Amino acid sequence: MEQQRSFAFDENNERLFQDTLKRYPTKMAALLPTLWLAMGQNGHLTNEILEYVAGRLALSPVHVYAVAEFYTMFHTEPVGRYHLQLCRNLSCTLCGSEDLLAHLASHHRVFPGEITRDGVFSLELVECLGSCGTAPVMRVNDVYCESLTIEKLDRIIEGCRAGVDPEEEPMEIH
Amino acid sequence: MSVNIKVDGKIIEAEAGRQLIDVLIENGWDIPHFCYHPGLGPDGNCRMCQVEIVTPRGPLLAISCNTKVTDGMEVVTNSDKVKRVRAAVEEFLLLNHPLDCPICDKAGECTLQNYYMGHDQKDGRQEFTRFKKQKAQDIGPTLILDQERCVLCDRCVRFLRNWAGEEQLYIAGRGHRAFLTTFPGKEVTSPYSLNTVDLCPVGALTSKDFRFSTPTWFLRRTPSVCTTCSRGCSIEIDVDSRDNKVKRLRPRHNPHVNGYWICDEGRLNYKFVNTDRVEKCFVDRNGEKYETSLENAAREAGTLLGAGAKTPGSPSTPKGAGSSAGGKAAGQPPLLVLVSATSTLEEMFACKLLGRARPGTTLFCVRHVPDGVEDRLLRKSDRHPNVKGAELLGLRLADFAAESDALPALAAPPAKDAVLLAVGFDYGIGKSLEKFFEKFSKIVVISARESALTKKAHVLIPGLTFAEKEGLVVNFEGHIQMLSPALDRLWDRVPPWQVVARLVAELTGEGGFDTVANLRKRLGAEETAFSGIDLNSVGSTGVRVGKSPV
Amino acid sequence: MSKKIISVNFDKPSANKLSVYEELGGYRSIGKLFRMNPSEVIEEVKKSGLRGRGGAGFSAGMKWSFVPKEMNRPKYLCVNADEGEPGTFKDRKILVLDPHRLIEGIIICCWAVGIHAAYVYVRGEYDTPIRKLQEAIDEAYAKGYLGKHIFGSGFDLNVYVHRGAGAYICGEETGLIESLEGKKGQPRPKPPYPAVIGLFGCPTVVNNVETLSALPFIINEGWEAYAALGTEKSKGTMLFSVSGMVERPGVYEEVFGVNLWEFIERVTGGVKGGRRLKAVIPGGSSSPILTADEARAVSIDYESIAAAGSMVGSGAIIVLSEDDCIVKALRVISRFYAHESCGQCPPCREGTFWLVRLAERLENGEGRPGDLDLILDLCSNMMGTTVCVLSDAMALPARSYVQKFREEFERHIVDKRCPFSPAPNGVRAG
Repeated sequence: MEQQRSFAFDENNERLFQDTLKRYPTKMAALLPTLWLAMGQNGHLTNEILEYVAGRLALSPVHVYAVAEFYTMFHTEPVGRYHLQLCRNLSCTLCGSEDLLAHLASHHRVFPGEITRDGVFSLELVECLGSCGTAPVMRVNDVYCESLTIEKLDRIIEGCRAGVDPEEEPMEIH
Repeated sequence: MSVNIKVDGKIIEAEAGRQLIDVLIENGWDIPHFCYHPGLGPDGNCRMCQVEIVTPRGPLLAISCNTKVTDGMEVVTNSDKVKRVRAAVEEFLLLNHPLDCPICDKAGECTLQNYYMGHDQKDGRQEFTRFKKQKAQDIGPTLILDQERCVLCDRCVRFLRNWAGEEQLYIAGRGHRAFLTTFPGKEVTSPYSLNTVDLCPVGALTSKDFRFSTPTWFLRRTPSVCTTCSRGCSIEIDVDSRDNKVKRLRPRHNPHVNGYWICDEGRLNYKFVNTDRVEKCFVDRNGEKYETSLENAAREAGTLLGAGAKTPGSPSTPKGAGSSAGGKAAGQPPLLVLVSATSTLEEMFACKLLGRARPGTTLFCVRHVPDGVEDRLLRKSDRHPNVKGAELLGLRLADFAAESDALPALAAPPAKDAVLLAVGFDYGIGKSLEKFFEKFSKIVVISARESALTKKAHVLIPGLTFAEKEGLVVNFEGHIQMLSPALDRLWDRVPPWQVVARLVAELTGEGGFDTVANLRKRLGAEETAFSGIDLNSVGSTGVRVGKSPV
Repeated sequence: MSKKIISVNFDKPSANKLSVYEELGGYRSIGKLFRMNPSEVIEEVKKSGLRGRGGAGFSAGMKWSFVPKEMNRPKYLCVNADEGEPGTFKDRKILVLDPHRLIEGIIICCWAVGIHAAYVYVRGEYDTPIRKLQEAIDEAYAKGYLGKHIFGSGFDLNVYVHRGAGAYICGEETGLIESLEGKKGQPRPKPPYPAVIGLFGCPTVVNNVETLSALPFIINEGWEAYAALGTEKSKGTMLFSVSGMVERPGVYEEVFGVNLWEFIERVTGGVKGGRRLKAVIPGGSSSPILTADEARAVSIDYESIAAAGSMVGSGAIIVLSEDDCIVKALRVISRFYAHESCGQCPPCREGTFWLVRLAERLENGEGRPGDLDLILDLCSNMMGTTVCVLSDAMALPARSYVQKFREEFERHIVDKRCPFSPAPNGVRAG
């Protein structure tokens, strides 16, 4: 069991945090940006980090906790090195995202709500990612992987296993 | 500005700009609601208080808690649509609500139950497994939380944040998964936490103190006043009709004193009513205590206090040394009368009459309970409910908080043969007070509870706690309120004021007061501080000294 | 060739760069803008007929005019780039391909209403759009187009990007405001409206990205040029996001008033793989569904689509083919609304929960005969009784699915299975 060290912003994040505060007339309004900074530094938001953020912004800890629980993108549990977010909404479903889900399970042993034992992948079913024109879509960490097919999905998974981050394709123009 | 509005065809007058729900309820309409509370303001989330407002486009639903009264407004509260909305909201709330009624404290005073009977009464259509959340969570020294029962009305959150100033509860998460919670590992420690239990419309927040103790339909509720500090919040004393014991105290709305709330300290300060009671009269014969009747005890007390020496020069005058200030009684021992500042006006006034009737008496009203926490909300550091009453009656106040065993207010230590009459020292008797009492060889005590003092008494007569007597108390601002007896008197106890009045009768030969009402009349007539106030009708929320009746 | 107002720069390489944008005519409106009185600008926008493109379709100019003229509280603009309505992906294009157009539109709005601080609330998943937008904003600051004395005038304007964190309800204007203030994105009861009491208690305009992006054209060409396009109540153009079972899904700008199906066929090549058309959702998942016949008969504009019982909404058109199961569609969207409900009101949070359970059991072949009427009843209990319209956004479409495709639902109940599963044409991805 790792010794829990006290969380604090590193130098860069501290600077960004101070810049953030200047953009809002209240400290409370800086909450979401501050949580993003904290999650960027630690990967996920522990209770200790939530209390730290509350202290920095003069908010009650339970308020920060409630906000972290409200927003889907704030991870309060660890995620895999590659957090796969597969859209399960209408256009993606019409274009075959459920087949991709089945394939992730049957061929790659990746299941929703779990981290693979090697810690490489976690999978979350998410709602509309706002790129329905290139359905089915899966977000991998912060990269949009679009126009997915089984083959393309396999390539992405293999790449991630090899430590190669997927790349976003240039935006389609009509 | 006063305007006319029409509600269900009836014209009523209302103040423009007020919340419609308040106006409707005040005028006798039953408008169901969960999240609104007059002490917290509207939130608009429960949707239960919706009524129809007639507009040029037809009747439109609006939440009455967030709709301000305007001139000529037309409101419909009994249409099919409104009834349907109420039944729909009730059904939605019951969808995932656990079937806990048989084990839930709130049963019998539960808004969800009441509204089901009043506005729904349809068979459940929900057949899916209810969504599970955490049950029976210990969230602090006073509260247990059941997240499944919670209807997410946000009242507790708003109360703690906006009124008590400590944001310790919050609704986290989203959708039907949302849950009421503290920060993991943290507790609700606000000294006003238990108000959330009253506020909670269901049994999500329950009081550890009251949990599983009494089905609410057995509770007999009596309006009264808290006596834990000098604020004197209006309360309701709830007594279990099965065993005649006080089971809990709850706040009563008083816009002049405490608004809608009370503190946890005062709320939980009722257990002493049920413990260590003095149940019988006792007299001391050579160190042995003998049970006796009130008649005998009163007569013995009278003798001790000098009943045989009513007139100067009487042959039965006992030998005695010098008298205390103001005394001119030939041979009578000095009498020190100490009345606790927790006593009622009637008790204090009766002691005052006693002092007048018996020369050589020194009378003090004593503050003996140690100071407590004071905050900017309700709690006062003075833990006596009636210091102001004593002041208005012109009694001299004495503090006994110090460590010494002397009563600083006394000019000289008591004489060896001095007699002590102690009235109303039911709790809060510290070491120094104990030591002081030891200086007296003859002690008459009227007290509701056993203590070091009652052990020393030569005559002991049972008193009454605040939960059993009728009496007036005056808070630190001069607000007079009436205590009402919530418990049936089981023993042959007589209100302390009446006991003292008996003693006066023993001393003077005059008749005692037959009723407390007459005592009050005389009090009102003689004491200029109370002129213009009818002390027999102070009303449920009391009157302020110096102002016209509220 | 359709009129391009918003998407005119989409196919111009590097139009997101300030220098290129200016070469293409960008920021030309500002000179004219500052010679106009703010109230003149509001009038111009009102007369143009520009309506909100985020989904509500409210007159932009009228919304601006609700902001009180007082000077004792600062005013704010919140740019709604939350783009969460399923089927919508057009604001994303603007942010990546033509962000300076948005900035130009922000300047126009802020000048008209007297606003000196604008927050662009972008949904958290939009990393690339956020990056591109911030780059454009930085360029604008560097050139003096934002910040103090913009364009050398006496007008100050700061624009900040604020990142969301995954909550569709933050696309609702008061949910967005609550989220910006650092709380859960729970909508507020209205009144009061944001124009009077909004962000930080101050008068606030909330406008969609696309709405603001139409402003440069309106200032440059005048309100008449904009109002000349479209129909009587639906002026101008809209970016339609077309997806689902079509050959070429994408964002297509079109003038209001053309026939819906004719437009879809023309720009996307029609139903994918030559399948038969079954249904069209015209305005995002929150809009009632149209049958194939209805889609062929209606024109795209606010009034016609409303008359057909649906809404233009965010212009997100989703096409369903003969192989697509409506019951499955109900299950998919009900899970969405249940996931996104903020949880304040009982009808929404419990109603969406209930609908998910019912839709799932219908799709699994465990549906009961009474389920359909139960769904209709529960939908009507969810409409018009809540703090915001997420509840209606679930109930209205759900009701339309059951009403217009009742036979399909009944088949699921009678056959005790989904007749579309497995898909007749095999695996669909690819």
